[in-house]
Amino acid sequence: MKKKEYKPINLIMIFVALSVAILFAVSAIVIYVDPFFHYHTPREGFPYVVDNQLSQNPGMARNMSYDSCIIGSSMTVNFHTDDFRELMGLNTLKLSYSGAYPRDDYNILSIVYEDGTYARSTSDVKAVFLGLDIPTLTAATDEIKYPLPMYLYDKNLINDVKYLWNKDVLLEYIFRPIIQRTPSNMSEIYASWWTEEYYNIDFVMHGYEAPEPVLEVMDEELLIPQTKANLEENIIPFIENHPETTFYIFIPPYSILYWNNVLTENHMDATMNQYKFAVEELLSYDNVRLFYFQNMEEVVTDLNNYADYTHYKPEINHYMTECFANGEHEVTSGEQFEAELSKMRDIVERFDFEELFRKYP
Amino acid sequence: MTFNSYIFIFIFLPVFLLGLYLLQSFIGTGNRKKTYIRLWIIACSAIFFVGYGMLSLWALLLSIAFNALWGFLIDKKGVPALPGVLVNVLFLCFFKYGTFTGMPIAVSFYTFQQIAFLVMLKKKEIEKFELLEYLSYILFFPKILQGPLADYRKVTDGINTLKDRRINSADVLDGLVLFVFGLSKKVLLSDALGLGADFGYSNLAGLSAIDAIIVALCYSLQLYFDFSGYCDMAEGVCKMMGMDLDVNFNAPYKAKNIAEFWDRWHITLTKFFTKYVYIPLGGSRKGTFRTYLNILIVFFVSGIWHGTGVSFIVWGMLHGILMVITRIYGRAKGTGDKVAAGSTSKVTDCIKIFLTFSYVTVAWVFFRANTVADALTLLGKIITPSAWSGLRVGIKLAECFQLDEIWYIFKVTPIPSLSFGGYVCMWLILLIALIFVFALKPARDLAVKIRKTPIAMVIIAFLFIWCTLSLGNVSTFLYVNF
Repeated sequence: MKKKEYKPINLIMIFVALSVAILFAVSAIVIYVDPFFHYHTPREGFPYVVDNQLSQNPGMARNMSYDSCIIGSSMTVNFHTDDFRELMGLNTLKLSYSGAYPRDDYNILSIVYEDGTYARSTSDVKAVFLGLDIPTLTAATDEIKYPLPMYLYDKNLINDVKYLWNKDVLLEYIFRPIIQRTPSNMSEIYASWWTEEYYNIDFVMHGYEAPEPVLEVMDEELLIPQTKANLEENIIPFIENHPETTFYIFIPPYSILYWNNVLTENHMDATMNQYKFAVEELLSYDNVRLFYFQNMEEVVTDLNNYADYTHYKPEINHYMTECFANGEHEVTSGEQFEAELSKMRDIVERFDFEELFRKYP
Repeated sequence: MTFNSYIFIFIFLPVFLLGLYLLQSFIGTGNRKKTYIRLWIIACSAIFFVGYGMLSLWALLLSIAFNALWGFLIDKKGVPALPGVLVNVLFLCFFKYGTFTGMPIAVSFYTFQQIAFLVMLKKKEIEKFELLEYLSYILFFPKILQGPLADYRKVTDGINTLKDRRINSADVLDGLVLFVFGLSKKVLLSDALGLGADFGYSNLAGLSAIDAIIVALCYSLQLYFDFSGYCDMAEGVCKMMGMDLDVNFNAPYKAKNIAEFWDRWHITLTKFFTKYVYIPLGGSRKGTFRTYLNILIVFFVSGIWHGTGVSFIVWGMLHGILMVITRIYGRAKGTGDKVAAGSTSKVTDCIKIFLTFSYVTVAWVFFRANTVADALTLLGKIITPSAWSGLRVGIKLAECFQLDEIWYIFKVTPIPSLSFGGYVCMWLILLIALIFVFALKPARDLAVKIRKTPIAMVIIAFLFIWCTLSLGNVSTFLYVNF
């Protein structure tokens, strides 16, 4: 029996119609749930999973309700926003980017202050908690840590197709949450993977690699121009343009091993000068409150508080939040900061690195 | 843009085909229509290429300007082709071995086509230099990025005949099916296998012997699906237009010896090297020793063409040496150069295919590894007895293959709770890949021969949707870097 022949045009139409219908349905699902909050506020009752800083931060910054935010690198991921509500009465949103460079801070702050968003139509920004990693101020002013999914950052509707027709969005952020029904706790999103047992000196020293020693002392002024450029381009414009916001800028407490790197690479004076310059620049603004945590001797010299040479345990984040509320460790003048730096230098000078490396060769 | 991008699939290709259809149907007649069609192809090809950055654009423009001028001089003034060829070789070397941080996209491909163009023009294999014809050939978007190193006359004749026909639904259907097959090979198989290969080559020290074999196999299959997927898509696009493109890929891993492999893998490159390197060197006309030497030279040049670094030369020489050995064996057996012809039983053929595939896979290790030392490390793992102490595949390697869509299906079965549950995705993907490579007909034949019914189109539409949703993490084609 002769098999039926189908007209090619009809077969093409079946292909096109089915493809269009499915892609339309997929788009509708993604727009409705909107797991990256690109189009609207979160749907009531949907168990959203928030674990992707690059993809979800811009949408959250635009479409969530908050009056303050946490900006910065992995030094900020272990804050609990509930602490900010409890201690300071703030509705805080965490917008950290692990490894953030100043430009990453700039990018997300630009969205935080974007006019016409749901976030800004519901509340002003009362406070920004900015973790300032001074070493990153020597990066190029337009350098970002990871390539951004620009279709979630720009206003081009055409390239949204990468969001709407995206297998990962559909499976990881829509279907999986529906099945697992375990939404992220917004207070704790982005928390680092290190569990309690990783915070100990053995783990830190096992993973620590000292840099190659540098013989030549770094010129004291070498770091200043780029630091200045980064502050002027990526940080200060927000401080200047938003006097209604209090900027809680804090310098996170890296461990004593960070200072060993500074010593080994022979740029102690240049680094101190860089800290001094950055802080003096920032202190010239009335809406800046600056906190210096690096000279908490009992914390930074005890490597059991760390998982590597810079990352401290979540309890430290909680303590810093308390300080933001009660003003402890706040620096209010250049003179005070110089004294704090002297204290820091003194801690470094007194610390017995030889003994540490003898124990953990 | 690349074939595996939203913009190509949903905007560029439909607009290009629609424009071509309108030109064929309503605009002009005769030579005027031919000119319009050429201009349309040139304009669209330029748009296709323009997104690759200024370096790529300037390099292409420079290459076109020089070769158009030299082509004109060959045609009108009878100047020799050789200086033009040398300039092209220098141009390629400049970008390949210069101090640039990046290489212009597709420079190796179009430079070889420029060389072929100049030589053919000089030999009067191309009747005369025509600027629009030349531009439509060199820029022709289905082949500009990764070949095939298409024959000038075949491409231009194909373009010239477009004026006398219209895009028709039968061609579009065949081309569409082939395009979806190619897209699936690239997006669903090549990229999945690439995750395993990438993991292995960045964690060489931790691999066991069996891990090392899987990693080598993954790259061999990744490259196959990447390149053949691209070729299928290019052919599919041409088929939709109503043109045929040179076959560049013909089930190469089914080859029974290395000579046959090179008759099936990157066929147009093999033809190019034969015509423009092997034969000018004397081919097989100058005695046995010179023949073998010429073969080695060809594969040495092939190694250099594929990449910078010693590892590419080692890769080329591994192929060259086996090619010479195969020739020697063929002569001893009395079959001469017809080494591919020998076929005995199915079992013998299977053994030959297995051995050839294994050798090619070992050679790909040098092709993929960052250094010769890395390649030797991986191969060393396979032959080191201590690495065989545990035959279990590393779970980290297996986890690279846990694609969400497969994992979701498994989740509703008892598989995840089984001791080997974590490995099922990996073995499944490898099995599917091997079936495609060794058991099925080439996609080109399948696309034409499968019975096209509404059910078949529904399945193909689902395959297409699956690919489309997987484009989110867009990867580039491996061969585009050469």
